[in-house]
Amino acid sequence: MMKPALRTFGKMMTVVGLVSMLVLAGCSSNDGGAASGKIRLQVPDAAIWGEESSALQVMYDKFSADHPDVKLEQVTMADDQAMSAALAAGKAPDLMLMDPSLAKERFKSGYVEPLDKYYDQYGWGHDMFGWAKNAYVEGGKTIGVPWNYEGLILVYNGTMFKENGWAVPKNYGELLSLVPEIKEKGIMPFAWGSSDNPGVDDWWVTSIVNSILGKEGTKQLYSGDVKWNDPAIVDGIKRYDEFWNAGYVTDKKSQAISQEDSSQLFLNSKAAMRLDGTWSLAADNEPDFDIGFAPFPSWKQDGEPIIPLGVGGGLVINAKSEHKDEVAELLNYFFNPDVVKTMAEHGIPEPIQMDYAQFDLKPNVAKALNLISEAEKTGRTGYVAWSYGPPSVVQVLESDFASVYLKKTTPEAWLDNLQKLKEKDFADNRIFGLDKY
Amino acid sequence: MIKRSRLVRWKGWLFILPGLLFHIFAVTIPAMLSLYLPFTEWNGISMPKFIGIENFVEAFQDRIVGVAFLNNVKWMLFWVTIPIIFAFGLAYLLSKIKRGQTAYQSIFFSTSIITVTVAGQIWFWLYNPFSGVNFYLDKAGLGFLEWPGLTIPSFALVSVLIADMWRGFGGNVIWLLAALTQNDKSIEEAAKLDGAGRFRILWNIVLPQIRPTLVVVTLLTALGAFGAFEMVYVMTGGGPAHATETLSTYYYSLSTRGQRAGYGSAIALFQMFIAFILIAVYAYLKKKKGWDV
Amino acid sequence: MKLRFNWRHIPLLIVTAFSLFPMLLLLMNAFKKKAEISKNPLGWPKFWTFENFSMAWEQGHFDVAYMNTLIITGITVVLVCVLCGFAAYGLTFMSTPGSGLFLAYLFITMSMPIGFIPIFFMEIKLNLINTYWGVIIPFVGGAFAFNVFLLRAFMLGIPKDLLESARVDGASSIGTFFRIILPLAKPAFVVVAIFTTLSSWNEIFLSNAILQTDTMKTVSVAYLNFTSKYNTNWALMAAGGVMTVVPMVVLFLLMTKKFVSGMQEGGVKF
Repeated sequence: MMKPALRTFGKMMTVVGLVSMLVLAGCSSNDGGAASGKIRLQVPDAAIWGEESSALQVMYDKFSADHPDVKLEQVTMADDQAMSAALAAGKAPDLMLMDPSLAKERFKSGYVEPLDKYYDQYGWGHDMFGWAKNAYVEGGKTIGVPWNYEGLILVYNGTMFKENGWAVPKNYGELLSLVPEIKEKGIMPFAWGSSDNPGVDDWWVTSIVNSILGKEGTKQLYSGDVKWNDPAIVDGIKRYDEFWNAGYVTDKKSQAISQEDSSQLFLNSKAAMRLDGTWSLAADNEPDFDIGFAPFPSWKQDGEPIIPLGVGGGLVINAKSEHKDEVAELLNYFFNPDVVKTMAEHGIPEPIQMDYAQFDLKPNVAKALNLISEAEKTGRTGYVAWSYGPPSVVQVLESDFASVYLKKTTPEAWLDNLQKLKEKDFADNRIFGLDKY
Repeated sequence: MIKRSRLVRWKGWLFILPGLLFHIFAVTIPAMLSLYLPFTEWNGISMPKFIGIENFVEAFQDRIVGVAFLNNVKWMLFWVTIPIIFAFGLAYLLSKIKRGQTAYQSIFFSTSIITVTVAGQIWFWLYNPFSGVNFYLDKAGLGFLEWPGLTIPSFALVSVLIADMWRGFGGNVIWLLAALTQNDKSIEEAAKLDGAGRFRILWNIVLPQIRPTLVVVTLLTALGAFGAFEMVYVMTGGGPAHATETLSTYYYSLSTRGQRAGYGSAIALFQMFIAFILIAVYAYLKKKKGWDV
Repeated sequence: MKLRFNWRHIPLLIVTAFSLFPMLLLLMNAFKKKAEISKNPLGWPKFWTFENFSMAWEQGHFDVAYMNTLIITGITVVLVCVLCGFAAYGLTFMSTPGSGLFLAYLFITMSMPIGFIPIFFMEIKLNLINTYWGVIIPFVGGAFAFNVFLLRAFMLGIPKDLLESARVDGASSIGTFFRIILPLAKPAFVVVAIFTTLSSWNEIFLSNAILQTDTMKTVSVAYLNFTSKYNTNWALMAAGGVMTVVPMVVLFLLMTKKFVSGMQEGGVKF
């Protein structure tokens, strides 16, 4: 009686085993092609941000042409959690795209390689803007190469403004007298959409705190003594709350449409203005009107506009990589003129001294870049929250500003919570010391 | 009949074991981890640190957890009522027609084969306040028919539910129709001759006959709607302002963006309450009422 | 004979429109230029363009993705049918001790909330990231409980005498399974196969986390990557969406009858 039982079991195992082998064969044949003694580097997927990240492809192509012995394998990380887990397991790509705040935390955990050696070897720091490099300095070590710089500005329908004799508003007073006029014409003053990514609401908060506190005040707000529930900030947030609820932002429907939808509303002349980042100006839009650019109006009654600047991200090297020197060599191609040019063409210039006149940029991009450099000369720039703010605060800014204007909470309560989070970040030593620069 | 030896009786396990191994790996161990992680502080990078019930203390004070829990309950209540009544209505209509039964059924089921991301995208277009259905209704002077879609937070969850129902009602129609066609038609005919009204026949004769299927379909639907995750995540990500937040979406965003996998797991555990209710209902029906499920 | 129109077709046709219109919309948008979708998302395309498809094909690496999906879905379906079938067989016909407890255990695990993070972590430790097994194992394991219930319910309806006579003929347990149970329970297996195919073809969250390199991605994951955080190209998404869905639609059209009748016979006894 024992025999049939065993026989059955044996047969079953054979079936399962056969299937398994079949699959394993399939898997290994997949790896087979690359095992020819080449060095393999895992690098970020160049399509991850669409056109915006296409400069990576240029960098990979240039590098591969000069280094046929190195094979680049593009990897997409689903999200930061996937990246965290991969880092913990020592399976992360050799080269990684990482936000400044995350890069710093991971550097502290020993996952990110300090790059000072390579900065010296290749002279990367020579032409780089100090404030951009600082975003990737932690404990005296430079841990990444800032990828771009970007600013928040006002984009408006120039033709519409001209036809109606509207002046570009410079501050809250002017803005508030202009918007009812626009609304009367049946046009939305601002086009905005956050349904696909509530994180973009962070742009408004950045614009508000920068213009109310000014450059120095904003530094203190992010990493110093100024509190998030400071009456001035409460005032500013309340202003936006009222502004939104008066229907000046996408007719009180911004939470139901996507960013792309809202930019189409603007391009179809259904809205007069947008708050936008310099990175989005390179998109191939063909509006039948002149696009105008200006610093976004100050949220102070009679203030001066400020352009908040920041670093969109950066490239870091995995501390556990087996081929750090090769990755650094690859990273050096980030400063190849063709890569620099591609970045600029997409409206996300590398943060280095560069004469962009030689690149023959699109008029929109050139205009926006000029706007930023002018603001820099006069010191009217600020700091974007997503590059420099306390991480826990940024997380709320990027997910939950809607609670304020949809009246699920009060501005006071919301800001009290932000202040608590900032204090917690202080206690946990997660603050980026912007006030020291 | 020869009494089989003990060994032979245990042989059944040889058939269960291979699948069970997969199950243990993919369900049992993760489930056990899910029971442990809520008691830890874990950022997703370092090793989880045991901190006792702190996460639960925080969760009970978290306003969003309350909103999410209620949304999960609403989600479940919606799915076990409206789509099932809807599907039953359709199946009943189908049982009374002669032509095109299969065609209708396959059309109704065809929406289920659409990937959830694609489905969410389509409904997003439909709900767009400036170019979607509402825009055309407005143009046609039917503005009063407008459905606020995702613009008003209190309607957002129902709007996502409608999209989810569009995707998932077809299977139930097929199953309920199959049950209806197996019904004994003669009882119905007899009742009709006795002059019983349409609804009395439906209530007293048709429904009791398909009760077992109805219970199973409801139970399966409830299980399928248990997570309340995919469509919500795809369409709103829990927004606007947490109006459509469910326990799963909150868990997901806490564990990924928020890097608080420990706290997130504690919140995921709240789903167990709902699961317990399900199990209790199941046990009640099976034991007390003797319904064969 | 007079053909009378049955009024019941009216509500049924309305629901048909409700079902089909959104899908038609997807198809139409796939032929529009990027800018037109926002201006005119619900109408016919003003200019028909096919470049969305070629662009989506290239960007999504759809050739590789189709192959990956085919391998993963195929193996998953076979394993689910065989392993769940075995288990249901063992539970139904072999008077296995402890099967009641085992069923209760399966039922409880079915209602446990399990996030993808524990699985993801385990797979990293076991080196399963970027492998087919990395998704197949969770797919099979996750589908096990439900399908065992479904198959067991169907097998309970098969008379035990049939098996006894087979045993008298000297067939082994395995032989009985393949020769007698499988053909008799075919409708139930069809249902299992259908649902497993659909769910593993369409699964995105786990696959997206585990299949990271372009050479390993499935179709649904490739599609997911058309939406990036700050850049949504809806024309590409529509075209990619059509390409993601088409194989399932074709499969469905080819076997509509089997689909429906399988669901009817296999599901109702559950």
